[in-house]
Amino acid sequence: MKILLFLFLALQVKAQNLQELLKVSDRARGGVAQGVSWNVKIKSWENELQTERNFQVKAKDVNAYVETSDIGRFKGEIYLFNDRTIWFFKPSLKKPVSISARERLSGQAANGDIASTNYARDYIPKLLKKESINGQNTFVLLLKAKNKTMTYDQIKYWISEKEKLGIKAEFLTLSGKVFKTAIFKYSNSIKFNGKQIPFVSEMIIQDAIQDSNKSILYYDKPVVEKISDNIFNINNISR
Amino acid sequence: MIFLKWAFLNLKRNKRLTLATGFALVFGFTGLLLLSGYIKVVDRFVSTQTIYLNMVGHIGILKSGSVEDAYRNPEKYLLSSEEQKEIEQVLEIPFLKENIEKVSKKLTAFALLSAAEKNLPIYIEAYSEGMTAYIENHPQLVKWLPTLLSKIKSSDGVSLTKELYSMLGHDVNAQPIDVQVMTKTLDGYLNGVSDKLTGVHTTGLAFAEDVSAKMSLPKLQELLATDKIGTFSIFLKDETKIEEVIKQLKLSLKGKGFEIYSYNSDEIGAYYTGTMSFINSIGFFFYSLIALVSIFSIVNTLTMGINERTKEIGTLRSMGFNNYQISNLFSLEVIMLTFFAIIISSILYYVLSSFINSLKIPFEPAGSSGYVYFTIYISNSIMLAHACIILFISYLTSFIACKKKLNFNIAELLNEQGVYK
Repeated sequence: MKILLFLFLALQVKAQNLQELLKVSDRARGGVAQGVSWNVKIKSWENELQTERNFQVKAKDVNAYVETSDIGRFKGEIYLFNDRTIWFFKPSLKKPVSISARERLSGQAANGDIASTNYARDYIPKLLKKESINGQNTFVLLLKAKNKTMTYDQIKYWISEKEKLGIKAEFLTLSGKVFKTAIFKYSNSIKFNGKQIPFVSEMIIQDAIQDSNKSILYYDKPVVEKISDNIFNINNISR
Repeated sequence: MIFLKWAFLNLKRNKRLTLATGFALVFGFTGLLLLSGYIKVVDRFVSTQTIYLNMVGHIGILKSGSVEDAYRNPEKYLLSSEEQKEIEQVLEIPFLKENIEKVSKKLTAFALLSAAEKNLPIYIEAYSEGMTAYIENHPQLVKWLPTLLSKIKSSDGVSLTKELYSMLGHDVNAQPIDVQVMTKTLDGYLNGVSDKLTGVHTTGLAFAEDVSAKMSLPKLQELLATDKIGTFSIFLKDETKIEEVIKQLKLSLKGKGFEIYSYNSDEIGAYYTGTMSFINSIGFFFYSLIALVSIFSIVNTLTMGINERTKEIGTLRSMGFNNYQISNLFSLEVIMLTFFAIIISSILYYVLSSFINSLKIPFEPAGSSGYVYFTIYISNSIMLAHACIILFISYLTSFIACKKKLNFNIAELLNEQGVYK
């Protein structure tokens, strides 16, 4: 009986550690409770089309306010991430439109969806194995969605053992096939709780089905700052 | 003339056989006429639906390769403003101008419609200004699909089918509401526009009613951030001129990278060709069945008649009639009988068709989103064409049936006891 209790506690501790691991890795991609802002340039290649967009991002906890810094026809475009709901707004619209699951699978919405994925909140981790990537020892986790509203049912996630940073992610379909992959680099840093910690500087999102479809997100000037909750209120966004 | 008289007298003399063959011919011929009339009506329903209701037009002009690749790479396979001007210039040629009733530009896109707190995936079609009004009052639509006209209400803004209204939870006759339409531009960026939901339309196709939306061409071009279009839809004054107009268009646009199709091609009228090939296959089966039954009835009764009249053939031969004259006499009898049958069948065809049409029986063809009246097409040309065919078949059948008996010599024929050697 004592042995069983010990095993149960050991498993609980392990699960808690994996959850903590996810939280730490999320923090380096913007999951900061008090708020963090940055600029991002997104270069995309999709179906023989190349696009480039620039955004200013203000993220706080599970919300993010993303406004384009491009001018011309893109002026005034806003993406609002309210927890799992993504809203799109631009001056030609009278009201914001929520982006459907289908729209989240390609284009800017897909990039936003992947970039904003909060692994610790939305997924249950399971340690698969340890693996070395480019000389870095990593934990390979299989993340299973906590509910069916998530865009991706399963994610295979590589977290570096030393720095606890997400190195690579594979987004899987229901049948377990790889749908997209993401590779993360961390050349930026932010000040968190008085310490400089690494922050994502580049994210390469690659379509597994069509190799030529990919996006590169370049992160710049990340700053931890106090962000008002008002900017995440959808009712404040309208023409 | 004397042969005609003999033929008539012979028919009168052999009443039993004449009536048996006559009935077979009347029923068979009436059946063929009614079946052809029905197929013709279905053709008119489906072609009117394709040309006017779905605004395909009689002829479509597209960029080469767009049928296969426009959805994969719309930027490349849509018609640029320069290409549109080039086509518009060609359409000014006097021959084309005098045959064309209306020209519309067409652009389509998949999008997301957001209204009344709901999001719906839609397939938008956009046409030149005034097209809904043109279609709404078109005599062809009034004539062939009057029951579907009640499902159309002109609109300057966004138009949806009744099914989409119901999915939105919005009443068709309620005050217009704002809708947001969102999709990716041709160059790959997410875009959205707002418009008023004001119109109602129908595609006439059950499978398309829960996704079909229409909006003005400039608005869809704004949404897709382009000045391109997909197709030029050309509506003719006279449908019989399609081939001539296509020939002229192909000549004028030769080597410029365009493709020209008529509504009854798989490329732009897949619904028409699919439906009609199905209807024609079924029609052909029944048509062959009726035709074969009629032919066998003629062969059967004729053979019996000739066998019964073997002695008569022998007498005619001994009097100096040659095989050709005797064969002609029998054929004349059959042709005369067929002629009477055609007259009776034609009267039956007119009476039955008029009666069925006057009943206005509503029925919903497979795959259709609304009902139409069950109708039989009444046409002199259908009747004449079938009359010629049945006369030829009757003549041929009687000729073949006679030929065998005429090979006997006179003594054999005169010794025949009447039937079935």
